[in-house]
Amino acid sequence: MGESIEFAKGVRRAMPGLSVFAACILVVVAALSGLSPVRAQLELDVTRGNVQPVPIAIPDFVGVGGDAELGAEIAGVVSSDLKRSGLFVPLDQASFTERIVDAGTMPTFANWRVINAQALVTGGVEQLPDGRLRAEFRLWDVYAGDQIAGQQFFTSPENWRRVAHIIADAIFERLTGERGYFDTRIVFVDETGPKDNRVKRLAIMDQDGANVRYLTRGDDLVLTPRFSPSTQEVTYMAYDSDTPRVYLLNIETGQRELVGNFPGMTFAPRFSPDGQQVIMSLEQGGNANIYAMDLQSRRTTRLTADAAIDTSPSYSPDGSRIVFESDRGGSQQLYVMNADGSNPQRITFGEGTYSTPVWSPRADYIAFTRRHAGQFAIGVIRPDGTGERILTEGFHNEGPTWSPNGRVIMFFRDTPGANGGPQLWTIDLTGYNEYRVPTPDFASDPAWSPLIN
Amino acid sequence: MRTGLTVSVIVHLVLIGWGVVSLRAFEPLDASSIEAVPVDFITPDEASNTPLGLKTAKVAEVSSPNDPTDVAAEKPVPAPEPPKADPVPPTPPPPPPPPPEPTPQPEAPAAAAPPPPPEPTPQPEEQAAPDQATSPQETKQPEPDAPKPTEQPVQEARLEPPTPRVRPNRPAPPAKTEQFTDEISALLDKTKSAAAPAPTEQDASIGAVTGSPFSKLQQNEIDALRARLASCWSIPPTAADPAELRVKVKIFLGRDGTLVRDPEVVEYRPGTMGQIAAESALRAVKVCAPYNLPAQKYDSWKEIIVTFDPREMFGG
Repeated sequence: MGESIEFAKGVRRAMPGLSVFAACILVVVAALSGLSPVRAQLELDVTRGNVQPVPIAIPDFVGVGGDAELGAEIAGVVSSDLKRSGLFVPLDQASFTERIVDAGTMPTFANWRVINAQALVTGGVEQLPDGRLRAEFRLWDVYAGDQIAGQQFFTSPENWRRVAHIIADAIFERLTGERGYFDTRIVFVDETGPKDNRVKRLAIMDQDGANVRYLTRGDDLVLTPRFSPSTQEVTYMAYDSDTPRVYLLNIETGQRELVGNFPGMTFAPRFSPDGQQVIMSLEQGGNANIYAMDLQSRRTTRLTADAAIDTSPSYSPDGSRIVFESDRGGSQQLYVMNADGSNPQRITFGEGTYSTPVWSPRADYIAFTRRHAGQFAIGVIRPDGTGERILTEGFHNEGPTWSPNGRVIMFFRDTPGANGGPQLWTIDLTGYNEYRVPTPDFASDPAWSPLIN
Repeated sequence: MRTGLTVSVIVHLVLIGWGVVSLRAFEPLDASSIEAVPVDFITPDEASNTPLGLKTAKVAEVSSPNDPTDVAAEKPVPAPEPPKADPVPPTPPPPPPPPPEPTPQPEAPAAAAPPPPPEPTPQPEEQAAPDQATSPQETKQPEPDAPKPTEQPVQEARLEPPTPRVRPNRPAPPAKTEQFTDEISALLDKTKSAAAPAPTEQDASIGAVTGSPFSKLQQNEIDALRARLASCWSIPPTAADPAELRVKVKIFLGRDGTLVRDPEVVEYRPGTMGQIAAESALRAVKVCAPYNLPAQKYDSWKEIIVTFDPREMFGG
C-alpha cells in the first residue's frame, strides 16, 4: 500500500490529470470498501408459511337490555360461517379468560393472546323502542392491539341471521382481502318421496341451509335452476307435458313465464352476467344447439350449428366468451368459444367425459363434472385448458356451482341404494374443507346466488 | 524520428505507469476489505453438533492419548513445542490441510496451539469427549498460518469467550489462576476496543484482528429462526397473485429476545391484499416473540430484516 502511494507521487509529475483521476477513484473505492464491513444487519427470507386456519375468538354478542340469547345466536352464526370457509378456527368459548360485557370498550389483548387468538370479534345487539334491531360488531387485531373493522346495522328482528352473515362477510373480507359469500342464498331442487317416484320442488335457502322456502309445489318435474344476477329471478327447466321447457320465475312474486317459444325442447338455461340474456340449448331432431335470447327484445340468436349435441353453456364473467359441452369430437368434452359463437376451442383432453361446465365469477377457473371409470368427479380447469384438478371424486358428484367470490364450489352428491339420495356439499378450490349443507330432505342441482346487496 | 521515439517512449511509460498505479491502488484496497475468514466444508450435522472446540489447541493433545496411532505423531507437535518449530513447517502448504480431513474443528487446534501451553489442562478433558463423538479423527493439522502471527493479543481475547461457549458449565478448575489473569488481561484488551461487544470465539481464533466485530449467527441458527417465523406466519390464503404477499419487516429485539418495540413494515405491495399481507407478517413476528437466540451474538441479531415471500409455496 505504502509503495503504491509513493509510486503514484512519482507519476504525478508526468501525468497530473491521470493521477488526480486515480486519486479520485482511490478515494471513492476507499469510501465504499470502508462501508461494507459495517453493514452487519441480519436479513433473512421466510419463503414458507402456515396455511392453517387463523384462530379467531368470537364471544357471544352482548345483549343490551338482557337479550343474551339473541347475542349468542348471532355469534354462533358468525362463527359457523367463518369456520366453514376453512380459513378460520373459531376458538372454544370455554377457553376464554375474559368476558366481554360491553362491545364498545377495548378488550385486554393479553387475555386473548394467551389463548392464541389472532383476531377477536366483539359485538352487541339491542332491541330498539321502535321495534327495530340494532346490531354492532368490532373486529380486533389481537397482536397489533387495534380495532381493524367495526359496523352497526339497523334491521327488523327477523333479519338477525342476515345481519350475522353480513358481519361474517365483513370479517372475512377484512382478514383475507377477498369478498365474503355468506350473505347469499342457494336455489336447489328439493326431493322427497321414494326413489322411483320423487317429488321435486324448487326451493331456496340461505347458503348455510337456514330459512328454506319452496318456490314450486311439486306438480312438475323441475331441474337446473339458475340465479339471475339480480337475485330476484331464477331460470330453470320444467317438464311441461313431457317436454322440457325453460322458465323464468320471479322469487318475490312467484310469477312464472316461458322463455322463448320453440317447437322442440329447451334445457340447460343460464343467465348472462348482465342479466339481459338467457343462454340455453334447443333440441331439434336429435341435434342440440346453443341459443341466446335477449330478455328485452325476446330475440334469439343461434350460436352453434353442427350435427353434434351442444349444451350446458356458461358465460365468462365479462360476457365475452362461453364454455359449453359438446360431443362433436366423439365424446362429451368442454369447449370455449366467443360470445358470438365464433372460434370454438376444445379445452379438455383427459380420460372420460366432461360436462356441466361453469365459469368461476373470478374468471380464473371453469368447474366441471367428469365421468370416468364409473366415478363422477368435480374438478376445475383454466379456461385455456391448463391446470386441470379434480377436487372430489366418488360414486356420483355432479352439478358444480360457484360461490360469488370463486373460492367455494357447491355440488350434489348422490348415494347408492334404495334409501340413498342426493345431498348438497361444499368444497373449496384447494380441494379441502368439504362440508355437507343441511337440507330438510334430499337436494340436488344447487345454484349459488350472487352477493345480496 | 527522434521526437517520435521520445513521444512513443513517454507515452508508453505513462501508460504503463498509470496501469501500475491504478492496479496497485485497487489491489490493496480490495485486500483490506476482505477479512481473513477461515472456511471449512462441513456437513449440517457437524455444524449443529460441534461443541466449538476452537480456541485451544490443547484439545488435540488430550485426544491424542486416545488415538494411539495418530496421536503419537501429533502429540509432540502441538503441546510440547512451545516454539512451534514443528508446526511451522506444515504451514507452508496451506492448501494441503483441508484435503486431509474435513473435520470440523481444524481451526481450533491451530489457533490455540501456540499460546495455550499453560491452560491445556482445563478444557481438554471436557472438549475431548465431544470432539471425538462428532469426529473421531482429530485433525492435528496445525492449520496454521494464523497462529503464529496473531500472537498473544488475539489469544487472550479468544481464551475467555471460548470457555463459556464450549462448555458454559465448566469453567476449568485447575488452571484457575492462569485463567483469571488471562481474563483480566482480556478485559483490559476489551476496554481498548470497546466497539466489539462480543468477542466471538470462533472469529477471534482465526479471523483477522480487524475483522467484523459481530459474530454472526450460524446457518443452522438462521435456519431455526426462519423455520420458527414460518410456523408463526399465517399466510393470507386468498391472494390471486402471490407477489402481493411479499412483505419486508424490520424487527427490533432486546437481549432477552423480546421485541423492544413494534416491528416496522419496510416494504409491501400497496393495496388491500398488500396491507393484509403486511398485517399478517407483523402478527407473525409478534406471535413468535420472544426469540431464543444466542445472547453472545446479540449484536448480529438485535435488528433483523425479514422478508416474507411465499411465492415458492405457490410454485412461483
